[in-house]
Amino acid sequence: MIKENIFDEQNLDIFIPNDGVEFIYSILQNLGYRDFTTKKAKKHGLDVLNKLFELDLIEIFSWGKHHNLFKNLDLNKNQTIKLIDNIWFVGADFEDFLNMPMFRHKDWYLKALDNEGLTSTTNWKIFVKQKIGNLEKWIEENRPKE
Amino acid sequence: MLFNACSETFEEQVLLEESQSNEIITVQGEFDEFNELKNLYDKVVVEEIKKNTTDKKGDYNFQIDSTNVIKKSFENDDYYTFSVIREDDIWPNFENLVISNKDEHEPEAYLFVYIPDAAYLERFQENPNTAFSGSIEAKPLDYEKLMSSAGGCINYTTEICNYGGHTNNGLGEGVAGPGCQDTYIVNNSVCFISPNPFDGVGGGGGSSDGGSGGGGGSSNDSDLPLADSDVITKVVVTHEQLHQLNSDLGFVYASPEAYWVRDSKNKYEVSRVIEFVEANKIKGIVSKNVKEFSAWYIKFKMLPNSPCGVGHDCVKSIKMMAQGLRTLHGQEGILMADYFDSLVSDYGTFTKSDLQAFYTMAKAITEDYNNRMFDAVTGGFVAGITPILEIALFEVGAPVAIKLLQKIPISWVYRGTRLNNMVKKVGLLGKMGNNNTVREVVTNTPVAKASELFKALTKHAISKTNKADGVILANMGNGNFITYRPITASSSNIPATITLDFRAAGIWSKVRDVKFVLP
Repeated sequence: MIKENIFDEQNLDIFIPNDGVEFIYSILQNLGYRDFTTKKAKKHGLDVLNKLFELDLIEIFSWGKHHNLFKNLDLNKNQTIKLIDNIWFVGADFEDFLNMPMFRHKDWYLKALDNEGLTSTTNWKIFVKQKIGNLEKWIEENRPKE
Repeated sequence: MLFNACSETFEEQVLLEESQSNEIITVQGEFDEFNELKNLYDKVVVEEIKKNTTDKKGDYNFQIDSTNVIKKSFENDDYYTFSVIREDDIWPNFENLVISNKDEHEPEAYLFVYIPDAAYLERFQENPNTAFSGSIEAKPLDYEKLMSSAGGCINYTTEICNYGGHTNNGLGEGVAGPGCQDTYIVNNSVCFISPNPFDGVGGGGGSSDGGSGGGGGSSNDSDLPLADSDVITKVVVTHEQLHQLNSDLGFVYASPEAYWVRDSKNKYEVSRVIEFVEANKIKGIVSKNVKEFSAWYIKFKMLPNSPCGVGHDCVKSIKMMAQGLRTLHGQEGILMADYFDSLVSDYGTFTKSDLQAFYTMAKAITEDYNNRMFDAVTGGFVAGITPILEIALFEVGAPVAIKLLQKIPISWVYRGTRLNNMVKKVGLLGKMGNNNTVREVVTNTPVAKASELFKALTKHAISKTNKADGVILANMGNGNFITYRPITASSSNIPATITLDFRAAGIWSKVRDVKFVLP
């Protein structure tokens, strides 16, 4: 288990709305990986996906080439991660991830950022620094209350 | 007064009225070779310029060609003639500064403006030493005299050749020139209008007995800055250099190209060509390539500035550019020329504004190629990619944009260096997104333009594969990929995205997205 705080500054780009998590390679790239094919990259990627689902920050946008097969399944977080783990093989690279699951950020997150004035050409790191401050805290404050 | 009129190689003799037909001694040399000239010049030219506090850009703002001074001595009187150079020279007129230093007289300076007639220009083509014909305007370079006088005339006598060389000016008689063995005298005068010296000169040259100038005008009290006293000393491009350039490039005197070279408006460009030609001479000889490039460059600079369709056949101009790029700019030029030629082959489908945009782009690209030639650096082709992509994506409508992109030849995107160069440009299109791996191109037709750009970039792909959600993956070899993603494969509902994975080529360390979005 890789122990880290995903809110550390070096991981900040995975919170860029949608782009930060769109493909598996997007997540790995934003975690600092240049080589997507290693076992370590896969393990780290799955851990981060798990955390993002746990935070209710992301959802499946597409199951890739398996979309029609899985799109109607009602999976919990663990089942979703398990399925991704099965689809994602060690050694997969850019071209392979195009057929694998895609992700998107949850609407509440996108809307809250929109309300803060984020646009598609706003520099994300500067925006977080100046408008958000502590992102983890801001997410907790803005997530839908149950 | 006795003075010489100097154009490029033109020389004439004019004799002051009171002078007698004794022997005239002529000496030609550089400014520093005449011992008394420096003091004389300071006194009657530099000092007068310093007095002028009102007209920095007018009559007193000129330079002289210090490399070519003609001194004529007659009895105890000396006359120095200089060719005048101004930033706003208007060809074919030319101007001389004459300083007289006569026995028992204060030295004086005069500016003479020569306005050639058509007959003179025609004769000049065959014989640069032909006698001047046309009109002459003059004024004293004496600030106080001009400001206080109601006008005046300068009387002079022209020495006409009766027998000998270069006598025929087409009018039955001619000013004495080199080789003339017998002369006679004709009285002339030229008048100027005062008191405002900056309204130009009036009156006419060549009158038989000194007609008077016209009315006055008020003095100019505007507070323009002081004239610089050193304005005279710097020579930018001499008439001799211009003549040499026209000669080196084989421009006939009356040709449009030769006119353009002589036009002072083009001084900067001309000085570049002169420098280029001189730097590339081998034992004083201009090589065929240098000559052809320089001549073509001048023709390129002469292309009309008027809009396409308004007295300007832009298609013809683009073809002219393509021809030069193809023949004078090596392999990089051929690549661009192919593109230009291909595009104008069906220009009939362009709107006027599209054609104008394309013409402007082609001209800018060609200019860049030329600048690189002058600076002896390559890279014109790579630099030319960006304006082509930008015009296609941002400036023209979808039909022409598609054409612009479709016409990109496969040779531009051969896998390897050429494709990498192209990809580098594409990866920098538009604006940066939320971080530096994302670019955003705003256009009214994102899908059409993105898909055509993708097709253009992947003409030399090893393979293209359909992936999930409508993604098309192009394998560009050696671990490099380009994808096209429609809206169905975008979690942000972006209409079209081109993704560039060129980590293997070392262009970028991260996968890069270029998003095409609606305004």
